[in-house]
Amino acid sequence: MKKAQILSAAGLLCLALLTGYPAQATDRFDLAVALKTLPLLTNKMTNPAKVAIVYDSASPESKADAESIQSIIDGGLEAPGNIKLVASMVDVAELTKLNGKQIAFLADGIPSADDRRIGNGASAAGVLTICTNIDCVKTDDCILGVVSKPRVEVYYSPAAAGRARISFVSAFTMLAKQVGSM
Amino acid sequence: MRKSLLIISGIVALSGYSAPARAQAVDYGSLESLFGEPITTSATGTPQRASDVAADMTIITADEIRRSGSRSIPEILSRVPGLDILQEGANTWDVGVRGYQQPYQPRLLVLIDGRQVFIDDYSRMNWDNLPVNIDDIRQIEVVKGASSALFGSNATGGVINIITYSPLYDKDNTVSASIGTQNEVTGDATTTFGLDGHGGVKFSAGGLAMDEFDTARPSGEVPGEIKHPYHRYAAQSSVFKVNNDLQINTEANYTDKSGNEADFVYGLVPIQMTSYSAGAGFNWQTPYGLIRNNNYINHYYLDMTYAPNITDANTLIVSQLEDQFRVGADNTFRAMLEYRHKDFKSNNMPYQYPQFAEDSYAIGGTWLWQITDKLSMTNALRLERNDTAMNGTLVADSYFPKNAYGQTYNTVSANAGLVYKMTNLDTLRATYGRGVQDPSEIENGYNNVLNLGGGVKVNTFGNPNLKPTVVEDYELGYDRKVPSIFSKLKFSTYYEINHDLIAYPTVLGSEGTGANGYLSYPTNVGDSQGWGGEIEIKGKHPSGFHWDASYSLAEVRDSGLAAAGLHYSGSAPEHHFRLWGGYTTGPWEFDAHGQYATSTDMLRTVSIGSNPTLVATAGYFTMGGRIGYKVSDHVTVAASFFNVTQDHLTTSAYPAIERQALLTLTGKF
Repeated sequence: MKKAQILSAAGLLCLALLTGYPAQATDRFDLAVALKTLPLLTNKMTNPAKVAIVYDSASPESKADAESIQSIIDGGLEAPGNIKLVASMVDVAELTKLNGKQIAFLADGIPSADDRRIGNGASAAGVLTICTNIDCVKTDDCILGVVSKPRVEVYYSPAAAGRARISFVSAFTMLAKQVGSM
Repeated sequence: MRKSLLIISGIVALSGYSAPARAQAVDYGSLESLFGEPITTSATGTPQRASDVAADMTIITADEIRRSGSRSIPEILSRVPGLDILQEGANTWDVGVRGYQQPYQPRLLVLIDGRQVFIDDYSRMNWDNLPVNIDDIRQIEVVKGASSALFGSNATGGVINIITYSPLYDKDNTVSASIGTQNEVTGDATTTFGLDGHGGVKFSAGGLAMDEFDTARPSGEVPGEIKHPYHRYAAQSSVFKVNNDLQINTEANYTDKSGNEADFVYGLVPIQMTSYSAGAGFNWQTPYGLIRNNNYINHYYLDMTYAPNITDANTLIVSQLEDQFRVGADNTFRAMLEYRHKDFKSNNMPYQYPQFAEDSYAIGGTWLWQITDKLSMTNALRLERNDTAMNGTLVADSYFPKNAYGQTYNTVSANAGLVYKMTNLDTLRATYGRGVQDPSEIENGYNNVLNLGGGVKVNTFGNPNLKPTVVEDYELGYDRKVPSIFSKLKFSTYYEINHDLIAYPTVLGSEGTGANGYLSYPTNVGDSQGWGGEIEIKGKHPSGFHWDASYSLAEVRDSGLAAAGLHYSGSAPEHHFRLWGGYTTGPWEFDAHGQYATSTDMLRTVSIGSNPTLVATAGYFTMGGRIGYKVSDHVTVAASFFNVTQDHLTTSAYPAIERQALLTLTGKF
């Protein structure tokens, strides 16, 4: 029994290590980094920008993170160029609500099984998907993944961007870490 | 000329776009804000984060430029460890790298927004004649070490790339006026017109007038009048967005200056110089990568207003075409073609204007390989073919016949570098550079009889048989962030060897006599080795303090240069300490800076017609500072001080520099 427990614990540890990017709550720094990518779009953002905060109602963790993001944005967070943000929460069960939005922040804690569905919905709506879960970018379901600490890194999926008809200036694509299928 | 235009047209046509155009501006501001550090293209030609480059690079930010209190770029560069500033007059300068100092410094290539402002006639810089408003500079990128694989000839000691604000992204509007000691008066203004997101047009203009230092000079040192420094310039640049994938850029510049500067034979001479330049290019995002085209022409007119009354004209035409693209996630490439035409003629001769011309054709590329998250490698290669020719009628009794000037030579430049990010705090760099320094147009193709007065005449000829100087350097670097004290520590050590250095003879007549007097022509005179390093700690505390302390060591050993008009060993301080600190509180800014440099031995010609001799200069200490006050969000007034410790300070073999103060009013809107 003890041996089984040790093996299980080791298995879970390996799984966590293989995943590589343990979920963490999205904070103001992550959002600030995400918003700083907007001036680097080839098509400039309208003002105000309509933002969807995507969560899974079956995941309390993701809902809590979405509410946290909503609170930060409602607190007056703006994109560079004094672009105001109008945010609303969107459940993965209601992805048609992405229509008319320009940006979709994916809350942390969304099960990876949802990533493909979100990616398809966002690309159909032409929405820029940004997350802190890099696996979503690696599978070409999200366009951008941001890491704000200890050093800012931006992960970029050209395939996901192409499907959503979204493009960035070339200097940005050379500086971002390109992942996913090429 | 017609051939040049045809070739440019051909390159542009091949690129698939019919309009002439010029390189774009990267949106440095947005990228720097996103990644939290300056962005540069000076290491590989492609955008990189400053902490990722495989080169010894210092980026001087706009804030550091402003807080330096200086209106002169060499004074700003004097804070960079490894750079040596030679001040020859109130507003004339040369900048050397890592112990290699001389007037008409040929080893440091300088560009403004990618356009060469280095002058090919004698291979030199006119730091007092740049078409740039100091307040319009976003950042100055300093790369130490050979970089000619990326930038071409003369980037053997390093490269300085001055980046101004983009008319498309930055909308810079600034005006400033200064008054100071030496009756100095300066004025600069920049205004940018946005085109509703479709582009921007920027205009800058300004100037400077002041008295030359009245420090003692040897009798007969400066023939004719002493030129009181003045400078004026006008510059225009624009970016037009044709669509999301295509931008077209244009620029035009005019500059004019006078001053007293040390020349290539180590004499201090009054000089007047005028320059014009124009350029255009494009940036085209295609499925095959980012295609960039850059074309420009520089024209310089030089008047050495002393006894020989040398007036020269120099033209440079450059056309560049490159493609930047990624292959997979980990490989970034830059493929490049370049055509260069330069010609030089002396205008004051009684015969038919001998005109030396050189056409260069280069092909090259850069490969940046992100091997792992922590390890990256950069490789760059440039192959260049150079064809030289002499037109017009040569001076009678020319030592080299006209057909000897028709030469072809090929050169190879290369760079390689590894960057290993050991931890989030530690980065290691190992780099190798092979740089090529072509002979200057004077060294290669001059053809004149100089009447130096007093019955001294020199038949001066360029030597068409010169080999280019090749510089190889090896460097190890280590950077460590020290968050506990809000600082970054930077350490580098290097070794370099210079092969086949070029110089005119030191002793007039040592090469014999011609029909009209002494004979003089340059030769490949020998080699030189340099080694040393720099250590710097730089930081900024949230409470408002900032600091930058550094030490540099530069040791140079010449080999075979004893009888040549070239002397690098000891030409710059072996030891150099620098300290800069500042504090901000409310609307007030306080800065103080000091330097101690050890002794030098530099060649100097004290009167026209004499031979240069070594002049020893003792070590010196100097300090200065700035007090700034923000009158409003848009207006700042600042008092700046330089060399406050002494009335007159001897820092080199050239006249002592004086204490200076400057009061500057700046508006930014």
